[in-house]
Amino acid sequence: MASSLAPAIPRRAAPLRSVQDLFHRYGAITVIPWAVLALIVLAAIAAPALPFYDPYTQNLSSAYLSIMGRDEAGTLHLLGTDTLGVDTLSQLLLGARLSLTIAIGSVLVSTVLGVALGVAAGYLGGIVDRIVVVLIDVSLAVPRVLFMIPVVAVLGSSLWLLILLIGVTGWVVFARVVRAQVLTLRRRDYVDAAVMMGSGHLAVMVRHILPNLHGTILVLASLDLGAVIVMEAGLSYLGLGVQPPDTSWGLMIEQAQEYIVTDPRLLLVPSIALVTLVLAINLGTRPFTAELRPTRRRRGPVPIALGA
Amino acid sequence: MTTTAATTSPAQLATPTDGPTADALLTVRDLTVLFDTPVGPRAAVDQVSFDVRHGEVLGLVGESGSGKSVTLASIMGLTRADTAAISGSAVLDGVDLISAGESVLRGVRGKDVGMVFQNPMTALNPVRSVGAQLADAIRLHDRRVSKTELRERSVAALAEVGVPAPEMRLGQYAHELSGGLQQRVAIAMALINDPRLVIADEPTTALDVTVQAQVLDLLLAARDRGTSIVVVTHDLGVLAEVADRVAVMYAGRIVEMGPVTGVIDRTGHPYTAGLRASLPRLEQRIERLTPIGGAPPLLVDRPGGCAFHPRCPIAGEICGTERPELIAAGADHRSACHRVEILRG
Repeated sequence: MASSLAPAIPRRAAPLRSVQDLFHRYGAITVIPWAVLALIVLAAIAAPALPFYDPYTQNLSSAYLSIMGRDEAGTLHLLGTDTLGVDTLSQLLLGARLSLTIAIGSVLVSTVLGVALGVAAGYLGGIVDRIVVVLIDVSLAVPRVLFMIPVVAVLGSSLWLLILLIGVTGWVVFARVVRAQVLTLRRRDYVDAAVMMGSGHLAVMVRHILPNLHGTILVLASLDLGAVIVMEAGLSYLGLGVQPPDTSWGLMIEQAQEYIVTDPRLLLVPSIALVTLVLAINLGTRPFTAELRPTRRRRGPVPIALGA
Repeated sequence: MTTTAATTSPAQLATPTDGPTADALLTVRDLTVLFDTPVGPRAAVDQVSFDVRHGEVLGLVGESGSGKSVTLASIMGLTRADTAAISGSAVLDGVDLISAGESVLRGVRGKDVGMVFQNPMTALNPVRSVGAQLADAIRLHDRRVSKTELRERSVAALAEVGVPAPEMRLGQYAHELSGGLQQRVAIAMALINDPRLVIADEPTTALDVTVQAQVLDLLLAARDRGTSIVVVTHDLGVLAEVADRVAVMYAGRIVEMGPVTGVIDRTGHPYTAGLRASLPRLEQRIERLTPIGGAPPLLVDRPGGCAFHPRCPIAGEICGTERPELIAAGADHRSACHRVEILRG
């Protein structure tokens, strides 16, 4: 091809060839959280295959083992055991599996629901918009937990119910932001152009509005992921979330609080895990969320704002 | 009913014949678009009638807010029904687009009528490739096209508007193309289904001068293949170059309409004369351009009589009280001015 005649094709970002490239482009503040996230997700997925993984077996004679403690049979417990002699590391991994499942599942539900309603409201306007706006206001007025307590009390807690409840109550964030953005998107010429080509409303929404929202959706979902993990921990802490013998990090924290003086390890282990995971999500997604911050446009390490 | 001229309705006066003219592709009659304003409904487009003839370029000129774009948007059903009340008719091939339902309009848009927008950068979707958007344009009106045929037709459409390396463009995005190339792609999209009418809304305003000429040539090439074209512009220079006939709009009404040479050489309305006088000229040195005094009237505050009379240098008493109708002012040339004789000396 005569490259001299063709207009310059814009340079795409140079390919990443090594870990150093990764650090250079995104900075340690982003790459390390990615590694931590990958480790947690891998561990959660691989947990059942690990030799020591046994989150359900109780053994009262080996309760309250401390870090690196060995039980009577000589088995090593890396993070010790709990009040009933269950291996704490196994519980932590089971908690990670459930927490991540609930978080990812409910964020998916929120995203689909919120984006669908937000796009419909913003694009169609009129009565549809007014109904969605009222729904948003109502949802904002009712605390999420207050809505969940009676539902869980009546139906009993289960994994699917938790995903559904957290998901269904989380759509508002998506709907509000997406609706506002669609209001400006639908005034774009290419939306008129699509209509002028003979596109119907559904085709315009799916082919022209939705693809332009991918950045916004990614940002909102990544922000929501961290919040939802904390929310599940809070629900479990209240006894509304995951039920024993299954466990989640929130439930582990709740069960550990009576032993806060006698064995703070039981509280510290799940608390540190929770903080690490949420921090890793929030820091690791900063390069994506940066698009929403007008103060930052350049590529490279993301500076962290200290203080309020 | 009496038959004197005084009681004949404005619509009849506004057109040379009562029905659609024989060689008209699009016949617009009495198009009125009312918008809700804080002081009640006001007409952004006021009883506009015109024809677009087969294989002609009709230029629509006027200042911002004169109703050019609203006229065309209303014809294509792009104004939202909840904010605008539209009356009148716009008949394309026996189908009245004003009263037609959305599904009929959807079949007409992109198939019988193509549209070229002012700013190609915003008229192309930034996150979809050129190929995907061309393919959409074809498939919206022909679902059974094969993938290879889609590709062939897309490449052919790009090649026809002079896009270099058309194969490569299919995978590119709008931001990877120059402004001129973007407008070529947009024109290729508008022409891809061989429409009989192309509406070009200020197609050259966003382009630099050398590219403007190339884009105008593309439109003329389409005209030579039998496509009728409506060009909206406020650039009389562009019109003189491409238009066969011109309609001048002011405050929601057509104030003058005729062949481009007639309108420019034997101007029949002081507003058109003002537009002409405000243009810079190459052949003579002018220290200051002559602007039209004042500003176009607001939609909510239009003067009675002739809407132009407060700014008109030759306005008389009648101009403030009686609204002039479009009447003959030459061969195929009509003007809505009480004082044409004075204007033409």
